[in-house]
Amino acid sequence: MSTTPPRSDAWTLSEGDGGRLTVTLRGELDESTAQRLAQALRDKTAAATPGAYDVVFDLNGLRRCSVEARGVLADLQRYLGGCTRRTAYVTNRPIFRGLALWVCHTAPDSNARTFPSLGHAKTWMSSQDRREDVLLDNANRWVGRLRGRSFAKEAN
Amino acid sequence: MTNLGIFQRTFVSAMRMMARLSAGYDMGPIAEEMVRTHGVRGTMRLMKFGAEVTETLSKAVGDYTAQTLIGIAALWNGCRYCVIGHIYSANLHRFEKEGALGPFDEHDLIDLMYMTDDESYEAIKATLSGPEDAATWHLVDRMFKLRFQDIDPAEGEDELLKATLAYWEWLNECTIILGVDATPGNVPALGYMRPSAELVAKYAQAREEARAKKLESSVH
Repeated sequence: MSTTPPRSDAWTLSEGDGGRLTVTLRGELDESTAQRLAQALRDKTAAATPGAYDVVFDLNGLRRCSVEARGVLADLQRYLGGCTRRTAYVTNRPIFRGLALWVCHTAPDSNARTFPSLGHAKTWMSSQDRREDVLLDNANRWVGRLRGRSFAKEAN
Repeated sequence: MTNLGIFQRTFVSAMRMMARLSAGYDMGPIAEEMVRTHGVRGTMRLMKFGAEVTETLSKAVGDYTAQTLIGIAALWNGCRYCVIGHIYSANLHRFEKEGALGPFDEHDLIDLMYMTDDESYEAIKATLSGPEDAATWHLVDRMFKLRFQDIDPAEGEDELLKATLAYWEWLNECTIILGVDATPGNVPALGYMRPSAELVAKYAQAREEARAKKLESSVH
């Protein structure tokens, strides 16, 4: 089931199996469009049991996002952090991964994270670890493996 | 956002002073954000890991390539501040050592970030296509595969590249507060380079001349 936004807004909201809401953004996102999107998501989740939904923001079609719209997304993420289970921002453009990271960090919501593809987000969506803990564990693991090692130029 | 206590604020001041002395620049609000996000102990660990990865990478592949790899790892995370600052540092290293400009102009980096990952891969490949950058390109290519294609580390430097990717993904959690809006000209040379004012001025002049030539040739 899809929610059709008014006028020619640059987003669609659809509900899939297993309580997944997918928000697809396209083109340019300005403040008023972001506010309409935020209201639609609030309406959708308001009556739901906390944690009933996962949210995926598909940003692959996004081309521009205003500073004001970015602020609306951070407010929205703060709200989603209190009522949904997990959020993944998926985009194959680094500029929007940065924007989404800012949104997750600023909200702040430890259950929200950015990914280059939906495939990369799968494990995260089904786990319960906080974003900061996952990143720390990963850094611990790989930086720890460097200790006591020598690499080509060093060895020479 | 949580306000910091007296001990935390004192630590932030000390950390900013240390960064000015050891790295040559002020971390500004990033230091405070690190403490707010990770606490004092977490921030100390973050700084220690950063020094470890940077030193190991620089020893293994040289300063220019190390800073280029760090910049590209940060590019994939979407942090403009780290991309610009580390590529700027790479360029200063090359200019200091060889008197040559690095292939990435700081002013072109944000355009790269608007591309898809595959498009930027091709653009980076073209930019590093010169023989002097063959070894750097090989490492970027490996790093791309480790980051996006989930290959397991197999070659010599792969674990070092994984550590670089993992560390900067962790670090960018805090640097993104500046990294979401940073622009060239407003970011210092990151890493531990501490470039002299003379080097910075000479590099800026050479880069401006190269930009003017490029513009002129694109007009004709």
